[in-house]
Amino acid sequence: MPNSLSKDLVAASSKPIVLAILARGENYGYAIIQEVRERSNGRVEWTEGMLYPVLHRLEEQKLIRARWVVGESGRKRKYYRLSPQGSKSLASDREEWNAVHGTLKALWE
Amino acid sequence: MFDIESSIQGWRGALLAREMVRVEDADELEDHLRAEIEDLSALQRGGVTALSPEEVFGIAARRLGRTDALAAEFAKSDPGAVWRRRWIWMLGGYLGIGFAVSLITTVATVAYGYSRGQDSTWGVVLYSSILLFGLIAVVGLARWSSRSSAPARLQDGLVRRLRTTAGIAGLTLVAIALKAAIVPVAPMLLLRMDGVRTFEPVASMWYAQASLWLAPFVALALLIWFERGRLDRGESRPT
Repeated sequence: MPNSLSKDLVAASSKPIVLAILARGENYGYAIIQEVRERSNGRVEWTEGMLYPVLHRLEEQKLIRARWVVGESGRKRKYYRLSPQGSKSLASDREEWNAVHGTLKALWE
Repeated sequence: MFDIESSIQGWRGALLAREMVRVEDADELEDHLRAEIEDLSALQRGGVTALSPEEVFGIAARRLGRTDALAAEFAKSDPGAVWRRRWIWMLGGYLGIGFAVSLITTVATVAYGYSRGQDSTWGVVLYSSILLFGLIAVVGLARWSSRSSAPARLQDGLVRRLRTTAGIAGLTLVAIALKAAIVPVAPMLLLRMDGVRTFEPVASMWYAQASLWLAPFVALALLIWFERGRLDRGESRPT
């Protein structure tokens, strides 16, 4: 069983991960958590109490947009998608994380 | 007999009883809980359903976390929201009361002028303009607050309704007290020197009247500003 990420790292990586998932298409809270679990092979375990405040903050910062969709069951579901500003922000996040990753990789080789 | 629907409603009610959780947030989390329940209900063992509805609800609710912890996380994401909502209610209460007072005064002025056989055109013009201002302000505030879904819809549980009512009443009283405190002070600040003998309050002058009207709003704006500043600093502190 691989170790899960430290609390600080989870907090720092939540924004780029959410943006990267939404860059792949419109999505909603429950599915985002599932996707994070699958993509990280269970090493990144997000709680609902953590995800929704992040989503709402990104929405307020206009990096993502949200809309309510009424499903077949008549249930309302809130879908999020990336905004143009969000795409830009994701691109710069990507550079930063690659720089950190590259540095550590060079040091550990 | 376990009823999963009433359990979900109970869970939602507990969430909404927390002031920082908006109806919209509760809708989103309820959808999450239901998605979790659907997935867990589909689990099978030996060709039959693995978990009873009661177990399913228990696990799903547990995964989402205790409602108070969940609500606390929501508060952290926007610490100023609760106070902004309170100020909106306060402002709304203040405007509402001002509107009601103008309405009563207008009716009284018209009735008085009519009974004395006097022409009360000026009174009507004056108070209609106040009425109009009050109406525009109240409608504008209501529209703005509903767009930001600030004061949540009232139909969500008796507890919330009572809390909201008590909250509006309390905050309106604060607003009235604020104005009451300003009324005797403002004319004193605007004294007009009458010869050398007396200082006459000039509450009848237009700027004195205007300051009476504007002062509570300025005070509210300042309070909101201070509150935001304090909370924003609080947010940036590592926890």
